[in-house]
Amino acid sequence: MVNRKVECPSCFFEWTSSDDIMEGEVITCPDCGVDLEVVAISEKELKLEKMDSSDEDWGE
Amino acid sequence: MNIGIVINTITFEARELINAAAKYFPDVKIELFKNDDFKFDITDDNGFKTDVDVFLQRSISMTRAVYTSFILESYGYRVVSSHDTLAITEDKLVMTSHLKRNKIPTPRTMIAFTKETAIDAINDLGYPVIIKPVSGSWGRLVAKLESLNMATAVLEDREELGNVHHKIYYLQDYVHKPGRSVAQYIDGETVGRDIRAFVIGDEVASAMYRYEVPNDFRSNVTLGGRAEAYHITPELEEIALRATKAVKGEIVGVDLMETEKGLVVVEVNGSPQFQGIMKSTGINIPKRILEHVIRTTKR
Repeated sequence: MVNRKVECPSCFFEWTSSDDIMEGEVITCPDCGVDLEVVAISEKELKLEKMDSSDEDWGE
Repeated sequence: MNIGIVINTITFEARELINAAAKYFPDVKIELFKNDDFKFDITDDNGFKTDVDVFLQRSISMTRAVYTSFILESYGYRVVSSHDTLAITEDKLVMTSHLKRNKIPTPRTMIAFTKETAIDAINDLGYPVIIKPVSGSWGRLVAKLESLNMATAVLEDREELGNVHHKIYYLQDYVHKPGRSVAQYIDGETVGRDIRAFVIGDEVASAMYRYEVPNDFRSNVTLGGRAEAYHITPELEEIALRATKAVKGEIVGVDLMETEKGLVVVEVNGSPQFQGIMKSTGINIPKRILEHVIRTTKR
């Protein structure tokens, strides 16, 4: 099991991710609730970027 | 069986489909296709080769969803949702016309192309009137027009937005939503609601009430609308399945409202999200989706 440190780029809350996280996955910061995209995964850390969901054609 | 999932990013829905396949269908191989990585020669019949038996379209960009479903189908692949379904549902004008042609009850809707004719149409409908962009989701740029002053301001805003689609004015009767949950009744608040039915194949797999966001008339779960399980009635099942057929749908979300004359279909979503409906009803939507595509796809 790999526990990676995660820091929200928006509110700087820190937590530990689940071990099956995938690059490109969208996760939600458990503290501020902002949607974050996993842009890179290293052995110890996840790199996250705030997801820009403002594109006009995003939806269901 | 090999199932491809077309994505922009790994959303909740894509992740749940991956998890459900691993848990319930160990013989199914899931392959993710990020549409950023696609490169197609659309003039070559062999321009794209894969051993995928069926694609699930989960691209969150509707433009890319429409195009990638079209291209993959052009190469002979089965895609759910299909290009036909997405092309109808991603444009509210086209979708409403298909509902009307198939005699599905829907709120009275008018289209206008200038501010002046839009004001005329709003007067024909009578205040309040809902204005929606023809393309768009999650309640973006949907407004309730309650007076001429407000209508004029919103229409002028739309004219300034620049995108030609914002100048196609889709104007709809406001349906006075009934209902309130027990908790809301106790709080003494009147909170409107609508219904989302999740259709998979020939069945309504699940349905939920969506209550209005506080201080808003919209009830999209993505905006914070609270979801509550809805007991599927024969009336709902009949109208939701007819609406699904009207848009050539297979896996769709049908949004309905309750009126004194019965249920009306407000819109059909061709690539429905399912986080809210799973949490509120407990129905395992990704498992049901996978069961359906496995059963209906020839290898």
